[in-house]
Amino acid sequence: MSERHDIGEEELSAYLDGALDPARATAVEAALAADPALAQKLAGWRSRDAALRALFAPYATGGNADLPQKRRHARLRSTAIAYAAGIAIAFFAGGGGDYFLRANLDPPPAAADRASDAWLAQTAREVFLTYVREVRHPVEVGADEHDHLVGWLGNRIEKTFTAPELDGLGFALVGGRLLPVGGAPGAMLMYENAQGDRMTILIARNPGARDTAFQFSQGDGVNTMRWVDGPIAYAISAFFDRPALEAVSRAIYRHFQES
Amino acid sequence: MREALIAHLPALRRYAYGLAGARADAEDLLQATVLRALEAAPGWRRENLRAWLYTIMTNLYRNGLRANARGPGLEAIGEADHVAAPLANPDPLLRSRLNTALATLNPEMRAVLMLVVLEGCSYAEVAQIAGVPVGTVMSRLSRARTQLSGLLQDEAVVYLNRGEKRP
Repeated sequence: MSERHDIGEEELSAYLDGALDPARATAVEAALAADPALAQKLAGWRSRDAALRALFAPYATGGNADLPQKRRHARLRSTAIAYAAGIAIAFFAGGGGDYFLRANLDPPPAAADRASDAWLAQTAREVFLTYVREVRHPVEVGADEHDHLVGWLGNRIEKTFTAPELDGLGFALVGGRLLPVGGAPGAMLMYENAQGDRMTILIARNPGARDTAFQFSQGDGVNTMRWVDGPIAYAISAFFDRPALEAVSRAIYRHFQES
Repeated sequence: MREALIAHLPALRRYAYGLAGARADAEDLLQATVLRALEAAPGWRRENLRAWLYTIMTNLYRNGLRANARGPGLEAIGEADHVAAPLANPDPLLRSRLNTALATLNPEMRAVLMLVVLEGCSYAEVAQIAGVPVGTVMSRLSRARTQLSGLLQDEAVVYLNRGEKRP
């Protein structure tokens, strides 16, 4: 093996990425021609890079192509008592949601915003828009997989609850997921009717201390009905119109009042 | 902002799998990143959105590993098996060997490797995302490649000593 060049691994690596200036690239090429072992190492790296891309490229899915579409309705199973289901965002296991706030990023929306519950409508809207388009992963855990998660979900948001039954209104539970809402754990439940209309219920810790009545808001084409009940804030979001939203919201409100 | 974010979702999901590997962890990482981006959107100063999203994900990934190191993970909760995922590689053995080898990289090395190889970021971009000088990016990258080579190259058991220079 040749030792007549001084091409180190960093330089070889940079050559592979086309990040060397022309003079050094020429030097690397000369060394590659003279040193089969170096050339073999580069070939190995190149094929490994290609293997990594092949391994992970298929996951590059999602986005605009994921428009709402009808689910296989047969899969939607409505249970007598449908429990909320969700799954942890893995990192929250140890420190709870608050580590999230310590990520060295720009601060979340100002605390002043939290004084009113306008943040709730905004968050609910964004959560809805984020997941309503998802065909593959709208929920973390489906309606048929709730059993092993009930206790855990109760611990996470410090309120055990059951998912409202909305069959009478044509909506079946699709599933749910756990989300960080304002730095605290919150839950999202997604429902869908036979036409493929989706609706989300966001259940979050209420940072304020007051109850509120129903409040309607609209933005980005999404209608949201929200209210605060002691330590818990609720927000229902959907694309469909206000009367329909009010009807389901009343049913959901009754359910949570009684549970 | 949201439309722009949606346009970046495929790349973000790919990067999440490149970092976290396992399906549930990767989807969680993606969701946490999207949520964090939406929450922090008012503070976003209209810089390079792609780099900003990669920065959030890289930070969450590193923080998540540290959080997991302190306490128990969430494996017991179970993977959402009903969630369809593409079959990433037709050769399960190669896939498994790659994943095993990747798991030996430290998070900093893995992030740099994935940003360059998978996401096609320039060294300067990676330096910005990871918050380190370009020289550090280069050394992490070459160490990651060397380490993977040592673990994956069948005939190259001799490389396993991880020495910087081979005889």
